[in-house]
Amino acid sequence: MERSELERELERLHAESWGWALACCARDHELAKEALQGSYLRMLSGHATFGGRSSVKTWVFGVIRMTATEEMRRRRVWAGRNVDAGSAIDAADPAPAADALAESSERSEILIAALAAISPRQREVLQLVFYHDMTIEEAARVMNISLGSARTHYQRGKAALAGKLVHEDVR
Amino acid sequence: MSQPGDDDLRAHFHTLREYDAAHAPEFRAVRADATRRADRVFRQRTMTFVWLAAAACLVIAAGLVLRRSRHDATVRFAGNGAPTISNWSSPTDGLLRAPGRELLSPPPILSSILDGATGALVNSKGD
Repeated sequence: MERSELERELERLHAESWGWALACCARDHELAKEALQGSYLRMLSGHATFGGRSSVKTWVFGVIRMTATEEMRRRRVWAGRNVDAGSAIDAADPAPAADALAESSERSEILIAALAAISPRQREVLQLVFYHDMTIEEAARVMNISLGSARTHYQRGKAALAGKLVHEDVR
Repeated sequence: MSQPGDDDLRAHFHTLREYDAAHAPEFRAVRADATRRADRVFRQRTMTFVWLAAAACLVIAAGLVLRRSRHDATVRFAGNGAPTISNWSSPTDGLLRAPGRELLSPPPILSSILDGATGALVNSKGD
């Protein structure tokens, strides 16, 4: 893919890429920005190349996920081993940033709180399917897991999230 | 209250998507920050390489200077007229040569055999 064409694609997908970077970085805006910068650099410099085996969006999201994982790990190492379990990428999400909650709509607040209570893999697959309108197969490619695993996470995540949303609505 | 179905979940997520899109940073700003970050990393790595190369040169130069000064010290020691171990003789060497030593030393074996043989021929021819 030509660089100019790639740049056009990245600009077209930028808003969705931002949403996905936020999801991968536990909704930490600064970390999401760094992850997105790193991802764009990788793709535009040629360190990550599009092989044509999937859609451009799937490939871009895969790069963002990998870069976000590295940024989270780097931050964890930098901060020492004193990071609490709530902010580790593999653990449940911590509470979203207070300023993000203050500004978001009530519906978004409820959804963010409910997502924080389910497992990271379930959260990822639901984000990719419902937020980014991907198929479960595309979500499996982005997450680099088997289709069967993705389906399992999707079913269980949907049930868990629906239960959390009912609980939040009732409160 | 019934659990939300797929459409309800999708509506929740789309609301969140609209909020995130409204607060997303500009693409060109992110792109420019990425380039600046890459330049900064490149400069830091270049400076690190320069410092390491300078340190390596210093170590090599120090090693060469030390090696040369040791070699010079060895040459000076060897060339100051001091005798080497191969040609050194003890000042009390003379005491080992006892007087009359030549009388006690055995005659050479080969010459005694030939002397005896030639001496007998000379005496028989003379008779």
